[in-house]
Amino acid sequence: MSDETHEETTLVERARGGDDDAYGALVKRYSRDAVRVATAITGSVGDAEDAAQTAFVKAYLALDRFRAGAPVRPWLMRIVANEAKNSRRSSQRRERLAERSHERYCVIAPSAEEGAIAGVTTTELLRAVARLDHRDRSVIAFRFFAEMSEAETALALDCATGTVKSRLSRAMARLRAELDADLPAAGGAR
Amino acid sequence: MTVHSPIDPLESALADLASRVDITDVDAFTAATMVKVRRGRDDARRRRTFSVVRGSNARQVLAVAAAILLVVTAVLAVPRSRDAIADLLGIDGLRIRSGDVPATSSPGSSAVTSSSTFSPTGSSTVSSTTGPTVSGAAPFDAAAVGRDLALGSEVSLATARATLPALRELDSAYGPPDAMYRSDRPAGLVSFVWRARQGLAGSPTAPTVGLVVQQYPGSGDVSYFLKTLSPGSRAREVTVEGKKGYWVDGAPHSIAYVDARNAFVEDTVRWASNALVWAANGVTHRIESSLTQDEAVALVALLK
Repeated sequence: MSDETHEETTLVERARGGDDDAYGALVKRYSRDAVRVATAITGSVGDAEDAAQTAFVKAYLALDRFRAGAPVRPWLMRIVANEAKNSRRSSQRRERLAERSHERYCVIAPSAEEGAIAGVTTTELLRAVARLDHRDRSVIAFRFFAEMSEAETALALDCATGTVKSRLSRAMARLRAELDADLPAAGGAR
Repeated sequence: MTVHSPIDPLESALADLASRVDITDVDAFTAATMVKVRRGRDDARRRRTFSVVRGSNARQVLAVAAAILLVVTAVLAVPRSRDAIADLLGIDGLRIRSGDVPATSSPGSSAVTSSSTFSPTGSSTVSSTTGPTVSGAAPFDAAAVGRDLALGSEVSLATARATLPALRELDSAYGPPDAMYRSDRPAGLVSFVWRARQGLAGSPTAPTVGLVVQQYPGSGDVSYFLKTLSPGSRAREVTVEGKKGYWVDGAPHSIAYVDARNAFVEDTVRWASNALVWAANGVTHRIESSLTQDEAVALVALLK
């Protein structure tokens, strides 16, 4: 067990025992990853903020089912991805009803190279990712947005490590197809 | 940690986008999340309790509960056995003491028996460290103003001063507070409550309460309270007594404090009025009322 895993196992044990500071430390450590993964799944930082926070609540309530000694991040990110997937359904119904007023902490900073990378804007890229199915979105979210290793991604996806690469390859191909369908004239850049 | 060395433009674009998704204030986000975690935990506990009762023979459960209540009531009637029964039952937060019935500045606002059928004699008092003080000496319906706001135990001014040595009193036209409370969440929290009256409208959620002034030894950083603002609440930064503070209005809101130990404590008050929150000299202050921002700021000058 690595030092980091050992430390996290200790934090989980303390959190199970009711130590809120311990769980708070885990939340703080993985909040950015959680919001990034949720943004990739939901396509919106506002929805991502809600989904990430709800996921942390659900993870807390599921601490008893966490396997001692296992790495925390893949377990957490899988819960985040599932919660983000669920929140997509409800947010799609809500989004036309009211302007969201609680995007308080999460932002997408402007890019210095907006539109220059691969010839797509942030909005176009998020929309294209959002149109993928959940399996494709998840592997892209884990690998690019949370920068998880193949081993971590395999744990989060509950698949063999060797499967991650092929799954990511297929997801990227479908993402390119989505972008090409959006902007056929600029397809050559991708 | 970077696990990719993007070589194709689309991978670069994804990596760039991911790096720009950020949290503006991770500490505040964490604190807000922990507030939701605690709520979720409390809700789950309530559901489990309900589930246990529902899954059992409800009649048997009620019969046993009634029997326990009768026994406890009988034993509590004997002063010396109160402490013992509290220990025996392991009731968290329950402290039973004798004497020192909290005084209040307003007739009819003394501590009262709440849901207990306990009817002690003499000056014995049963109090909860997290709830209102209860006493058999007062009639059931003589509720202290603000009792429903879960501000803690009702106390005398002397106890309030002992709780928070730096306590400031409001020397205003509203007179002395109609009720005073102290709480351990956050540690050292003192709340002064005034009844609603002409020129001091009640809150939609607590119509009898016109003004609440709270003080507690805080970290001095009041920005954390922003984390629990409900959608629809608005917070504007203001300067109060030369310090940064916030004026909050709009939807009902609750506040999570950072106490003197730097622990996050969620406020249990559900209030629907306007709030002025600021920290000065190691004490965080909060004025809740339906007063305007200017009127609330004017009250600050009357804190002595």
